[in-house]
Amino acid sequence: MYSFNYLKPGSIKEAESLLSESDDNKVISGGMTLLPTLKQRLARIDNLIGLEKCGLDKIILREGLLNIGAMVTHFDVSNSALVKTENPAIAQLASHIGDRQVRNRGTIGGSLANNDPSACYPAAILAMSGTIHTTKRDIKAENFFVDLFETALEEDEIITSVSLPKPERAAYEKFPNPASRYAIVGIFVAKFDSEVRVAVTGAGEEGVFRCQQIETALSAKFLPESLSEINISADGLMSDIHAEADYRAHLIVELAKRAVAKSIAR
Amino acid sequence: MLTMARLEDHRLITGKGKFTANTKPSKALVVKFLRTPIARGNILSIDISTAKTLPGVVCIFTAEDMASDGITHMLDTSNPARDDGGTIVKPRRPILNSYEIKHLGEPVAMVIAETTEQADDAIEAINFNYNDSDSAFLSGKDIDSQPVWPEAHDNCASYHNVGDFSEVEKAEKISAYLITVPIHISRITAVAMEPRIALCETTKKGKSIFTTSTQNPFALRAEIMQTFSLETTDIQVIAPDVGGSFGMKGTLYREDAAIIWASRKLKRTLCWSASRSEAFISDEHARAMHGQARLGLDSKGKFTSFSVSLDIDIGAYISKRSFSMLNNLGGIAGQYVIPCLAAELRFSYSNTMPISPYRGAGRPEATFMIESAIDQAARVIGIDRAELRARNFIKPNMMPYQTSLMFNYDSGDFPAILEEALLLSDYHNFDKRRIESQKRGRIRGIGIATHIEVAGGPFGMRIKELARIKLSKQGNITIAPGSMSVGQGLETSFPAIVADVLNINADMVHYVQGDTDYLPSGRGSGGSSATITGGSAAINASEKLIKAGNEIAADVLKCDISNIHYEKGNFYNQNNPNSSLDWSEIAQYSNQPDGIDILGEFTPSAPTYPNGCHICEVEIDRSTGKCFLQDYVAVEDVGTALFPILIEGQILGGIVQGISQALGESLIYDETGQLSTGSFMDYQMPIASDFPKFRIKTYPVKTKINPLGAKGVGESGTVGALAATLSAIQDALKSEGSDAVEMPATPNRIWKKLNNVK
Repeated sequence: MYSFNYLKPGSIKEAESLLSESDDNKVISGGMTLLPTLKQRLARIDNLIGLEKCGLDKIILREGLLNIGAMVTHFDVSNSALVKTENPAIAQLASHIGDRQVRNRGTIGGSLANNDPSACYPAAILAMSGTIHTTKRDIKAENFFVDLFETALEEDEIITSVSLPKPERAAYEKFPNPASRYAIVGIFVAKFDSEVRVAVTGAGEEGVFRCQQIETALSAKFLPESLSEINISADGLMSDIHAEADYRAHLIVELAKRAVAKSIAR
Repeated sequence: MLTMARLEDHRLITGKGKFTANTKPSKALVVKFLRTPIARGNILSIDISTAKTLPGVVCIFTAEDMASDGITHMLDTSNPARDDGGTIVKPRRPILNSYEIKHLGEPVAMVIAETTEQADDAIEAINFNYNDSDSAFLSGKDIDSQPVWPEAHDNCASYHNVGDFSEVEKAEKISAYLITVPIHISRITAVAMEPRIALCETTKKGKSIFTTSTQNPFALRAEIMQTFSLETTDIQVIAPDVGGSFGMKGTLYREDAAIIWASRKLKRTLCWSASRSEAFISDEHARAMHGQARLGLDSKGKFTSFSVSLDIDIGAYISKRSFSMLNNLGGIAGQYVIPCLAAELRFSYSNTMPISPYRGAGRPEATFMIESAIDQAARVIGIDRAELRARNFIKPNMMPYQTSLMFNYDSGDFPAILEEALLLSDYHNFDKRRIESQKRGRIRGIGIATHIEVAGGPFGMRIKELARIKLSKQGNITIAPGSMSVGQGLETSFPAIVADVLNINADMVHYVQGDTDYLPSGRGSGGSSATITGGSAAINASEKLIKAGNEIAADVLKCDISNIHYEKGNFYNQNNPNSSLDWSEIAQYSNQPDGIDILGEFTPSAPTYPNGCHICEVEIDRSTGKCFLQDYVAVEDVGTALFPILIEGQILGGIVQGISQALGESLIYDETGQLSTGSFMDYQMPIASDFPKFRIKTYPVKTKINPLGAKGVGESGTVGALAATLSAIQDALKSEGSDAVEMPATPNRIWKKLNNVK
């Protein structure tokens, strides 16, 4: 690890100004990916800006939307009575991220900003058509996830919270990588009054994506059986030592069926 | 004998263990190694001029510096052979490499600095130039292209024909069935909870004290003495608490040699500790073989012959540790009457980390070979797998039994153990459970493995074990065995063994281990031998201590020694029961200034043969290929079951390591020789929730080889589990008409087999 300063600004304005001072200043929000990167000297940072004093750790209901602060840990999301009532699927998703230690350090804002192609949250936010609130603007989920580890965030922009509408039905199914326990494939299925949205994480070569084939089939009839004839192409899916692309393609359909069943049973 | 908890556990699980890192003095300098970032190529230059000027950098050494002291290579301990008449080539392993790169992660330069950060900065500042070869040579490649060592043009390090292939061929010709199964055993590594660490202090007078996480300080001292031409007075090796070793920590590594040399040169205290990433590329690997096994049977299902042909991927360098499959090859005889056995072993080089023993060291592999062939034979002939085994067992009344390949079993009741395991696992009602699983979309499989292994060897060698017992002037009794606990619990068992002989409470006996200044030699931990050889040496020492006590008592009580009676810590004159001496009085009366100091010893006349039967039950999720363990039964004959809680711990841990290899552990190199599984993100380690509740039972058949009647327990869990787990998975797949899956049976691989995806 290279040495760095650890700063704890007292407000998000102050944090934003510190971040804009230099390209070598970075925000830490849990650090579940950043810290291992620093330990291996894969990144050099002058100032690490901790957001723990910026008041981003609230979960509230705002204008009918569930609003989760960027610094809320996975444990707090999974354990929040409000989240469990308003959006039980995301509480359940959070309860299966990493292990107990990770869930008590890792945050929703950190996960979204990192946009790991195997992370769980991006699937939920994209499927539920969430909005990412930042120090500069509001970004719709559709426009937020750009590519592997790449988002629409500008260099000096910080996520402050995420808003989620309340789906009629929703569920997340993950097939964990047996080594890392990240998603080999993770599917978030969300049924709204007007549409069904399905997002896939862990599988796409360009990160999280929506699966139109499945969305169309489920829009016709929101039942697992609607997917029995679906075949997903392996093109554009990741292939690695743990899972080949055709296996991931198969898992997408299988897990989508399970997610639909789970959301109906909920 | 005892059902107490382990004495060391409270200390170890509350963070009060004393591992090497806990003993590091503040004056210790930090050592880091620059390693080769590629697997094959030539080193052009190692420029340290900038690096050595950086703040806090004390020294940077390369091979050149060591060569000026005449120290260049690791000790050559290898003993290759070429039964095929090929040329024997013995490539030497440099301590620091300055010439040809043969695998990823070879140490090139050693940085010594005041802090970790300063050492890291210096590593980055070294200007290291090398030529990158097009690609690495890995197992399974066409060797004509580019053997690892040009002088070994066929890329073969050692070739062995064991047993009689002509007899096997004769038997095969008249066999009713000839079953051939492919053998693929993945390359894995020990992943000790405590990574390797080396701490070396050298006094002004030139004595080096080397503290390290090792399983055998005595063997390490001998290697160090030979490497550096030192006397016993020049080097002391200390192993404090050790967090797992499994065979991997059984030798002097290149980093150790470099640190000892540098510490002696600088007369400074140096410490290197491996990161987990470093452990993956620099700990010796294990297993790594492929080939085939052939089993002949007559029309009644009696085995007529068995043979294996194996290519073992030993990595880039050889040592005596490369050939453990050869030592434990006899395991292919299994628990069966097989008239002829033979094996062809080819040890091949590759641009990878060298291999060495890992829990079982050839035994799990051997059991996997015979057992998977028997499973396949049962399917082909249409006989129940348990029945086919029972039909071929060596019966208790045939003991001792000389197999057709190496081993001479002294005792065992294989049929009874199988029966016990079948009963415990409710084997005969398996079909009901299979149907119930089918209803839930799951494919159920049951696997059987009977296993036998060799302990307290190596086979064909009789190695003495020592144990020192001391009675201090204050009357304290201390046992210091040559055996070494790396987590097994000898701190609990050895005082109990001594106390049993002395007929006193175990808490009156202290335990020390892991210091070469205590004993002239020791076997350390390995070959499932601690209790059977070390425990027997402790018994011998304890008996000698009583004898010494008798002599002193006779002298003090002024009677003939034959009248001295020892009981529960007291020496009585039988003719005068009112006069007696306890141990503290014996110590006071001894004429030695430091009390009584006795060396006990034990040399086994032969190895022992722990054996057992494992039955594993799995369910496979048809649509994801994920395998769920449902039940696991192990019935083990470890001889006398001395310490049930330690036995269960050893067997359970061993089983988990076997299952883990069967299901997921695997070191994978890409075609350039980079390690694709160099961290826990990709190298699959199991977690507790992956496992069912294990049902472990002992079925003791005592051995006469040692006074305890114990056969050893360290490895048998792994020996049975690798075969049993895969047997269950293959059974599930076969029930669906699918082909066998190759180890490791990952969800992706199982799914492909179930869906016939090529």
